[in-house]
Amino acid sequence: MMPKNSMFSYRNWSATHADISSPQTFDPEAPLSNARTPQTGALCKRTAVGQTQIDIRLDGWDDDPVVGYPVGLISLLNHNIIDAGPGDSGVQMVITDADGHVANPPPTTIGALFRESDGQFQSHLHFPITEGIFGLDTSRISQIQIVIGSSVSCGRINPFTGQVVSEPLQFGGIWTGMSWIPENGILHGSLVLSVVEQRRSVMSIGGQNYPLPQSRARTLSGNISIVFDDEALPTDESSLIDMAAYCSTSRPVICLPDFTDVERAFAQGVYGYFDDPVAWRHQPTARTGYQPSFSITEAL
Amino acid sequence: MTILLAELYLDGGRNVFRFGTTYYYSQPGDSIGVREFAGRIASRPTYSVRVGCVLWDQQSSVSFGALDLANTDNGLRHLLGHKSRDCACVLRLVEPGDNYDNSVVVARCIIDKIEQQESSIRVLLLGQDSRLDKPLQPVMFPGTLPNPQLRGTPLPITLGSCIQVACPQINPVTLEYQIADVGETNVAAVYSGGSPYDPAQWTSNAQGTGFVSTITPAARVTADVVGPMGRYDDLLDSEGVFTADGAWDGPDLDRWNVTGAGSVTRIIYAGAHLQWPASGQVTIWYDDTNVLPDTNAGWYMVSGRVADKQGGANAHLGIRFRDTGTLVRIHDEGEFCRLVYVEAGGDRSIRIGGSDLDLGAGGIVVESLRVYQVDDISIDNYLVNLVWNIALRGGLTDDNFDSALIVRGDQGWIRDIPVSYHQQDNTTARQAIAQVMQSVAGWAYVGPDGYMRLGTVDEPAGDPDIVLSSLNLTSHPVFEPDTAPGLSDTLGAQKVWSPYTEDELAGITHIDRPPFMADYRYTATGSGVLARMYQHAVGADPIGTLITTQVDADFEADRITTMHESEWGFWMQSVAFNTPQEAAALLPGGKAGLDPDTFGADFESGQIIGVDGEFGNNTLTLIVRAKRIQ
Repeated sequence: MMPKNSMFSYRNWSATHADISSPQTFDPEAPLSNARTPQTGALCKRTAVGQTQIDIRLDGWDDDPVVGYPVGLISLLNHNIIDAGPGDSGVQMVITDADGHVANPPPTTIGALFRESDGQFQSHLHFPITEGIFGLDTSRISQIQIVIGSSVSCGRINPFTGQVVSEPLQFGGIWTGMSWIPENGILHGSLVLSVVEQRRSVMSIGGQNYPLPQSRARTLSGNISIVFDDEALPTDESSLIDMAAYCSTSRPVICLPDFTDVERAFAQGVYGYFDDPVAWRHQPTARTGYQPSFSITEAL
Repeated sequence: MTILLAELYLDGGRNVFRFGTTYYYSQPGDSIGVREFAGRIASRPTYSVRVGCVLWDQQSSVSFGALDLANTDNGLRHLLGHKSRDCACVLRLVEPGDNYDNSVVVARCIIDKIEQQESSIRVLLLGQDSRLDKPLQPVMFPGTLPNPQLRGTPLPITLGSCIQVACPQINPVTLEYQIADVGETNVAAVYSGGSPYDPAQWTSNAQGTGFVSTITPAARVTADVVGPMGRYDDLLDSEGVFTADGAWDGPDLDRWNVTGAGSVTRIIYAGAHLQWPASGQVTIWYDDTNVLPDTNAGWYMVSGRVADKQGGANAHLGIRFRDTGTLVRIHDEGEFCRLVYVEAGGDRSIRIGGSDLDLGAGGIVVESLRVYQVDDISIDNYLVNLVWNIALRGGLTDDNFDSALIVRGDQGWIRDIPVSYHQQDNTTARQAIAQVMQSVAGWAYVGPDGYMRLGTVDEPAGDPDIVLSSLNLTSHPVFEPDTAPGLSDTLGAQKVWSPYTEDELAGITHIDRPPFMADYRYTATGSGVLARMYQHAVGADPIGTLITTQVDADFEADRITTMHESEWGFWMQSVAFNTPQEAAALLPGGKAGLDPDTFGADFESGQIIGVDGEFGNNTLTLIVRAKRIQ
């Protein structure tokens, strides 16, 4: 048996159902509505340095009774945060469920989830919320507020010299998706990580290489050690088949191979699309079980 | 990872849509401020440039592949609702994170149309040379012309020293003939059936576009004539701003002065967006000495393009030379070209206004507004200037000209010699330019970057632009001999534009008749001994040129034949570059060095005459014309 430490998040409610607003000003050429697009290169750019508050409402503002959606992962995609402030205290969240429970996760648990980046790769802030955390009913989350405080540094950093070019906050997407956490995580030895590009280099007849650099994308593939019927086949809750049917190869998914480790969540987590439909092979076990395999390529 | 950017200037430039191969944002300090380039380019456009000349029986051509924009979400369907035909599309290359102002313009093309595909929007592109595919003369004889046979036919164009042109008789009663469309055309001699008029029997007409005869002609009338080159001045600069940037709306009014309640907005690469109240008009007036230089009367030509006009049938753009001058009204969208006779006066202004425009729908967009002073005979009739003039008349603008690119002074192979041109029909600007360039076995083409380039078949001198060897070739070169099917050892010069037949000639002796019946008054046979491969050219029909002097014809004939004392051939190969920017910068006309290890000792260098590429890629397919030296 493998530890229960792998998360797949899909159905990004922020893109389909949520109202997203902010009291701060965003550039009209890079508006907050860009947070809803699946392209993380479509940026939301603040016009000035300073605190930014983002309100994500899943309850339609005036639904009565208040509705909520299952949320297992909150992410700020392709952001330019390079320092979360003293003690990693600059990023805060307020999460509310449909029953009115309000949770304020300790900022340090959020801030520790990302590291500085030189822009070679997109940086994502991932904040998993598992069932029962902070007393929330995570199956009925209605409102999420993200506050990036004024102590947070944004911009570009040279990771070798530490030189910082300060810029207003920008990010490429907001993710509030439901999650499927298999009882047994990704099989030891099956996890494969890589960075790929669509190679367009040419070779001269004399053997000289002329590279034409293209975008880099992280890839992630592996097998789940064993998935039993009760977590593979239900269609009325998050499950393997629900994820496979919803995402197929054309809707985004976020995979955190080990969401219990903040370093790994940042370093290994991939936002992308399944390369091929997820398939699960029947396993000869005492209970009816399957071994799913998947492969994800990062979307930019 | 170089990003390809595409800017679509739709609705005459009023609405700009920006796309990239990935998302890209310009910086606050850039000339366009912060702009989003949506990462929707799904396929990079290709391009193909071929230069052709009379020796190869081939025309120059520039073509583009389509620009495909991802539209799986149907988010771009609105593009189909905008006016796109003939609007500008600019392609740039930029590095991620770099400023927009540091990007490299690799293509300035014209949108042919925008189509919806299953999952994409396809933008079909044309080169700017497509503007040259319409009649060079857009002005017709009016319906009130006394000679009904000429009504609705094109006005003649005469540029340079033209021999024996046919003379349309525009008034059978006054015996007036018109042989040019601009004034100060110098009529040197008039003939009737080859028999010259006595100078007392004709005088120049009032407009200086022809002459009036005092005798009824006994036979068909022709004339030797020298037409002027037009001198012009732009009213808009290369970014669509009225000359003298910012002069229309700030406190620092300079040459353009705005009065009234309207507004003028610049549209980069397209022109100006002008708005006037429906019941009034803004007057923008201009008093630069280059446009109305003196107080004398004269002929001017104003041309431009109304890219978009909103309003009823009476909505129009108005242009007036001097405050009291004739008002030229432009009612229709599209190109316009009007001749204006300007009376003498101290007022040097050019005034632009509009009437009955629907401002709510957008007013009017004007591109490439230009004024020609057509009575300045100080401008020469040399080849480069003449081609430039024809191209401007044909629809290109100063945006399409960079003198450093037209005449590559560093190589010095373009021979700028006196030539002439005349037409009385619907010949297009492209055809006219081809006729002129035939005089020097040359070509003219508008490159993907929108700049016109001239060149001639030659052995380019100087350092090569690129050396081809196994180090950068990505395919083995393929050789094809240059058989030069259009080659002749003889050139025809001093073209007779309207030869008489034997039956038409009257009043001259038999021995004097041949010059009036020949296609060319002078033929030059080159001194070079043609290689065996080119023996078909010995005694072949002369290459028709528009060269006006015998010295230049002799020189050109010697140059062509001497060049073909050796055999030539075409090498085709694919080549890799270190960056897409380097690849995009290489165009026909340049010199390629040929490495002997790959091409053999028979070839050393050649002239690039064809380039195929893809914007954003670092490989090209090149065609190089090279001489066999052994």
